[in-house]
Amino acid sequence: MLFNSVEYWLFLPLVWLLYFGLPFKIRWIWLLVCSYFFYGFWKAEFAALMAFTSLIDWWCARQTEKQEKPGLRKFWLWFSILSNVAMLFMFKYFDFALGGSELANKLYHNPYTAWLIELGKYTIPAGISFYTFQSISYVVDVYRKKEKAEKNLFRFMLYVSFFPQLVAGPIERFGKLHTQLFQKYMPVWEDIRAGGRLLLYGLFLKVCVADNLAGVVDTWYHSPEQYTLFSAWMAVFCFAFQVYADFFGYSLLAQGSALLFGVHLMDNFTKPYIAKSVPEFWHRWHISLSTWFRDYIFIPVGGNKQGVIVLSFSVLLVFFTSGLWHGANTTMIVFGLSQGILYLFDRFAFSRIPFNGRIWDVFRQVKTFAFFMLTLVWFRSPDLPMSSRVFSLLQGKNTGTMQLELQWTVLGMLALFIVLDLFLVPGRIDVWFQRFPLPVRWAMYAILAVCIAWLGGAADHPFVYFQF
Amino acid sequence: MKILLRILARLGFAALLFIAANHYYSRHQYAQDVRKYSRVKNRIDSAFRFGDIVYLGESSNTSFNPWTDTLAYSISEFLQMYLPGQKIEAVTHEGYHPGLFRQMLNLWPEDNKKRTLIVTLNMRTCGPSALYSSNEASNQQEALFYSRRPPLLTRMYLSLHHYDNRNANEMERLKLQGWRTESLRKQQSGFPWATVRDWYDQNPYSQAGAPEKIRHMADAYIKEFAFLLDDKNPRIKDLDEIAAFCKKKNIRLIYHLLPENRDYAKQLFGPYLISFMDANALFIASRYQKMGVELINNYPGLSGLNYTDQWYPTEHFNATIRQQIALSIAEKINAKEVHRVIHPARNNSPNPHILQPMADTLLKEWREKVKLPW
Repeated sequence: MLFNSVEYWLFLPLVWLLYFGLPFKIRWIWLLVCSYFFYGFWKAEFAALMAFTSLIDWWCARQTEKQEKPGLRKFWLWFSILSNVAMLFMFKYFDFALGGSELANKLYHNPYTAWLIELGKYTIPAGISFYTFQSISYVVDVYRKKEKAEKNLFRFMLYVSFFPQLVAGPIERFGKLHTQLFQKYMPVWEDIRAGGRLLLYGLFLKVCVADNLAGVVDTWYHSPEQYTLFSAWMAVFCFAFQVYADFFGYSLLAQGSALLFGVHLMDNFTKPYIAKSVPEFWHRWHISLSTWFRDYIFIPVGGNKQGVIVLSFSVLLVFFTSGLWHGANTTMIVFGLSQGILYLFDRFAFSRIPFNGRIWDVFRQVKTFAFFMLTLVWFRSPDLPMSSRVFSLLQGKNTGTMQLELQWTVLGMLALFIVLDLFLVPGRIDVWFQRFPLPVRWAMYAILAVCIAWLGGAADHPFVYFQF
Repeated sequence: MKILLRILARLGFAALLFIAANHYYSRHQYAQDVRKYSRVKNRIDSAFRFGDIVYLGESSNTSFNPWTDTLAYSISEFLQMYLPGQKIEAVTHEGYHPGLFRQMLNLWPEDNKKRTLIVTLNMRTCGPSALYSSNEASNQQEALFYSRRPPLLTRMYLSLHHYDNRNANEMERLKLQGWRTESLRKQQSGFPWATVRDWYDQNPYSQAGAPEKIRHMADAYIKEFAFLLDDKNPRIKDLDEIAAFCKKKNIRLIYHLLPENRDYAKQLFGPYLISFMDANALFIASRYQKMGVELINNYPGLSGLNYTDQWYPTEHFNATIRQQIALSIAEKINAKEVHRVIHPARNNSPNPHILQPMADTLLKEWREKVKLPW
């Protein structure tokens, strides 16, 4: 079920009402059932797959905790990690790595495995990268003795499957999420109000900003050579805001939904497009994934305390993995590595330029945004030849004469988002709303609601990050 | 309780806002959105309102042979010539199918005017290839507007993609799954191939190294026609619903089965592919005659050369056949009223210097080389 679907807007209030109507002791069971329904609504087989991986991770964490010998503890840890990686490989990377091989052909012509190959090639289980990473973090934390293993399998399954953050994060740590899921909580008006505001603004970002921009970007990418140089830059610029509005909108919808149940999810974005450097950008963009990579790859590999070479290696490894995590495609690997190289460039070269002042800061902000916007060409392109074509078009080679049409409504939505995000709203949108007197607030809600109903984009795009 | 009251107050505000916005939207914006997002909605409204005979069809209505057809009239236009006393209105578009026609009927007027409804059906739209077409999501998006709900709600549904919007990848997977799993031996246990996938994997033309055009043609014929209709087929359910609707509204309903290119199917695979076409036509005929629907399926022995797409199975005919189809429909509607001589009476002589590449010659050559058992 998608957050921007009619079904979800019927599902959420129903789940919420019944949740608080039930005795406290069984509320979590209701939430578990609903979470699996939410996921299985899309495809029941994938709910079974998630239950299976949860079972393995729960068992491995229990064994890791029970064992006293370090070797055995490590065995169960790696068993869990490898089983998660195997699942990811099978459903996400198999076709990329082995598609067209003799093995793939044999598996496809075997009546018992053909469905698996079809599934892996055409339909990646939604959010598999998110929930496997969340599960891995739990097992590693148990191994590191930072967390105690959950004894009840079903409670653990709820931690993995809690529907607001199941398919595209934020990737929450066990300690924080588990505690909130099982706390005694009665609905508080402040939470409901804040949740409602996040839901409204999140839906606005997805439906009005991201989906409208998606129409523009898709049109250009369909036949880029027909358009002018200006159109090429406009399409690349629009995509930067499409992907941001899409994922930021999703995160707000997740936070808003969770807040209705008294669960505070972490902020996944804190104005990434005002970052002055690439390292700062990655502290502001998809924070739950960045911190996951920091804690489970960057620091274990060596981090920043063992000299420049180890640091550089760690950074490149993290960004290579991040690229691969984003998609089974060489373009994604290049996207990840390009971010890593720019990260190192900023850290070791650009940040050492001894200039100061507001103008210099603005220049750095523009530079960081431009870096990201250009690397997104790899993110958006289906293959490397296409990305090369786009880069050559951005240099004015072989451009056409058509002008990309940006309708007033699309332009208005984009402008509103930029103004709100970069200039007006200093923190979270729900807190900002509270500054205004009630009539102004309600007028703003009304404007957002009417925009959603009236001006939503027709381009049919699931959330960009769902495919990861 | 206090919280619930606060929520209810906000919901009330939202409801009032919706009513006001809907009022404004339906007056000032809806017509523009209809033009933008639903190509035939206005056409449907006008056809249903003014037509004595409403012809719902797909591309076969308007397709013509660019090499030889000097008459580019559509089937429905020929029909109008044959029945000048009746007002014929057509709603046709490429890729349309009974699933969309069923939704169009939501717009059927509530008056008591006697109308006849002709629904054309090409058999291919019932098979996995068309059922899981990647164009289906955009068709379904348009179909959102074939309804009488408040206009703003329709627009919201569009924003929230509240229609069957399975993406191209998922459709491709379902198509492959259909070809891999649906048995071809349900009707004849000794059929040489168990599934469509087995059949195209062992395509004799590919194995004999036939030219790409012939290999693709053979593959396409298998994929488009090798399936068996049953009660569970979504298109059959759509046709059932159309029949029930017409019965309830007292509308005269005619299902018109467009003739497949049986000639080339036979040349390619002898009796094998034809057996599916026959079984499916029989299924449709017996099912809908029982329901009191009139059926037209009377074009035996059409030559493959009459089809404008020579290398791919479609129901696109040249003017001679379009005219013949129109006459059949006209006779079915009212044989006495048919104005048999129409002008121009037949296709003008095609330009002899323009040669259409025909599949026939190459196909015959390769049939002999492959030495097929049929």
